[in-house]
Amino acid sequence: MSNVTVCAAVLVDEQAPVTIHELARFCDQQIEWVVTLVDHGVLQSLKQLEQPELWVFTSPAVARARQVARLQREFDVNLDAAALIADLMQEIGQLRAALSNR
Amino acid sequence: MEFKDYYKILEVPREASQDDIRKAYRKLARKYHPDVSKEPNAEAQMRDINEANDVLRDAEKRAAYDGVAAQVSGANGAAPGPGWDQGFEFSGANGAEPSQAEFRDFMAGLFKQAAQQRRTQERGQGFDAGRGQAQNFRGEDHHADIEITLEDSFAGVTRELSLRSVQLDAKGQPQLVNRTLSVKIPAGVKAGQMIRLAGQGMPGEGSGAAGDLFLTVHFAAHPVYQIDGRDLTMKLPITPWEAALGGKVHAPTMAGAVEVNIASGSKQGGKLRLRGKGLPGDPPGDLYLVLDIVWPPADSEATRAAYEQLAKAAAFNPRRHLGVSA
Repeated sequence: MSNVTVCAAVLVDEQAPVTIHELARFCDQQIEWVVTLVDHGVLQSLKQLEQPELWVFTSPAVARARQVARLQREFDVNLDAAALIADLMQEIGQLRAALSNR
Repeated sequence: MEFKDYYKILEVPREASQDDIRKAYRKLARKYHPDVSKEPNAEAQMRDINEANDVLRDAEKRAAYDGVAAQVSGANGAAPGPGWDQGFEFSGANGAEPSQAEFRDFMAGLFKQAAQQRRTQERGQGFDAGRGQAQNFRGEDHHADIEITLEDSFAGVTRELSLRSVQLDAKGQPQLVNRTLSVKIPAGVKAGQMIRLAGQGMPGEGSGAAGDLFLTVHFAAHPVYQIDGRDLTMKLPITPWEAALGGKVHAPTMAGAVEVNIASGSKQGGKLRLRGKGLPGDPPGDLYLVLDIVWPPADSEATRAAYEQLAKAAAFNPRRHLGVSA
């Protein structure tokens, strides 16, 4: 059985961010986990609003949250360690990109 | 679904303790975790490793798995002998290999159980999770990666994606379904950008909506440009006299060649910025040209003479700051 579906792609950016509920679902976590990440400065909501229910996130935040969730789950480390690993991975990525520019 | 030997995947013996499994998992995670691994195929390997770990680290799931594994491959992990499957009733085999059908049911059972637990948690106390009642669940979201070229991002592109997913048929049996999605990717998409295809994830249960499919964009390496967000960087080769005297040269951009002014006295590695000549967007990215001075080879009488003349005229010692006189 095969069929072709034509569909429009919507960029997950400032115009169409994901909600905190969606982000929690992507990471297989509860929204409290996302709130903790934001409170610890690991993630940033697009708009700094009081109510977490209204927080929204763009692609880099989603990628980072999923990475932190993976690291926590798969290496069994706490949030601070996972965030540190994510920071270091990002820095290594940037350094590698800078090296390839030379 | 192919039978997977979780013990083999984790490289542990069947009698491995929970500690052994934990250690083996750590070791393999360090090697294959997509965030830290340079191994090819790391993501697929890690998926298997996680699946094996999820089952073997949970005593109940491990016992259930061992039961099925014994049926599939014969006791003690030996190859299945003739007649190994006698007296065992398989559900929904439909011509598929009994072992595979059985394993598929086992896996479907495990994951369904986990998914339902999660949903119940998500919906909290007020949720009616009574057994046997018709329930409406939103389908699961799917996440996948897509690789595009810089040219695709510059102009926008329509990509056909072949997806293989498991869907329940009318009898509630899982079936592999091939589908093709024609996806229009807008111009100016950046690396790491997520794209949402609404309703293209797993179908919902009951009258629940289908999940979404999310694609994360990666760029194939480009022979000329390095990509940083919407900004592009390229090396622009120039001659020593263009660097020293200045002049107009042509530089290629994604939108065609442009004329750029090289200032007199330009240095190796100097950067020029062409505003708005990177990837399109709001705001569009910039194109950086990194000057790369290329010397012509002294391979003819005339060029040798020119170099000799330059040596006399310039009286230049680039090692003076190192404290040497020649």
